[in-house]
Amino acid sequence: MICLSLSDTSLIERCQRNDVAAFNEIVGRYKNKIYNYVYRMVGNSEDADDLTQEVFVKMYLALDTFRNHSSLSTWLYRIAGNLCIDSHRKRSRRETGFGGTISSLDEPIGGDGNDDGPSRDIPDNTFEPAKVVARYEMDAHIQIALAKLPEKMRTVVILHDIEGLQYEEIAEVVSCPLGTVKSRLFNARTALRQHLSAYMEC
Amino acid sequence: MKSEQHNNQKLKNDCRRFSPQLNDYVDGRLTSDNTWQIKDHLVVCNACLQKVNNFTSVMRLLNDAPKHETAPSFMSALEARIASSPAKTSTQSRIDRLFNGILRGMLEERGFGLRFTAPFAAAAACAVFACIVLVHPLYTSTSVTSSSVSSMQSDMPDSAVLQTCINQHRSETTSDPLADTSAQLLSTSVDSLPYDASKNKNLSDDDAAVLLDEEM
Ligand SMILES: [Zn+2]
Repeated sequence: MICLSLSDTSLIERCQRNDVAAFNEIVGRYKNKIYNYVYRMVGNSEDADDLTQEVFVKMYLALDTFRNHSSLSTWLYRIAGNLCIDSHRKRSRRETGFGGTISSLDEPIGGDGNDDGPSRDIPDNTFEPAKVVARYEMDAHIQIALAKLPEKMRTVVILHDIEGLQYEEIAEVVSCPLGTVKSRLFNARTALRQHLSAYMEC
Repeated sequence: MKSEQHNNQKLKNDCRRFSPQLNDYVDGRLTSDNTWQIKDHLVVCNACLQKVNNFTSVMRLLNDAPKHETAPSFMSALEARIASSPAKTSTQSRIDRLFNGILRGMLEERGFGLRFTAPFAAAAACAVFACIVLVHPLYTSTSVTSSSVSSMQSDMPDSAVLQTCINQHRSETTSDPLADTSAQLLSTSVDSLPYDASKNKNLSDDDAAVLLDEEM
């Protein structure tokens, strides 16, 4: 039997019967998507790594409560979103601002001796330094702009424009009416356009 | 003059009507009729055209943003974290949770390859049985749906064998604990689990994929 061809639903059923291989397959399917979403929400790889692991621990602990009326991916994004918001609350109590790492993205990239920075996360097979630097720079600016958005707007625009979810799926993830999703996306894109004006060609 | 006023009014109305749909337009979610109406409006309305261009450029920029991925150590870190996490919650009693937590932990450790050895796991299992039997002689579980140990088939996976043993053990602890044959079977079953140290070192994603194929 090969796990790779199984649907999410049958993988979940297997997981509920303590099938470790099925659990590993689910993690393999979703870890990068969830990680990327969480990374865009929190803005640094350390927290993103920690929170993404927590998503799958939570999934594991709540397997028995999973019902098939929502899709696995929706469920995971919802767990991830809630964890991001919780962690942000905890962090804002400890410190002020969005988080320590974000501000450092304003500094020139590559010259700060931070080996654990973007190079670890962004695989790039092209060896054109100028392009690579431009890409990191753009990535950093996107991250800074996202950080300026209120969490609810940030969630929606990341899920739609970065993760590629449909409006309906997002409505389910954030438990909001479709109209709310649309207006949040509208506002988020308008705000991002202002924050990123220097990077827009038109 | 009058027709100019009329046109301005029409433009305003159209703006009010189409403005909320501009994201749907950019995201290609409109019917072709509706799409054409908006296209017509964009020819005459600079404000809406500007919005559409803004939305499109933001969308493209985010779409092209690099995708961040988990570090290679992600899988092994997750396995360790799950092994040390508390047992599943829900309506189970505390004892039940403790019991399941330790046993489930053992199953996971075997599957995920933690550094527990089988004899240690067996000892832990025995200790838990002893505790439950001694401290809670009246411990009952109403949710037993066990098939009997004697009905176990040789081709059942180890985890299923263990689960069956656990279920039968639970159903029998109410009567005479010492006559419980499933506990003995369980410890032999745990003892006989093959322990493959090579599988257990820093499971990378690729290893996990290999493991997955092996175990299925
Ligand atoms: Zn208009």
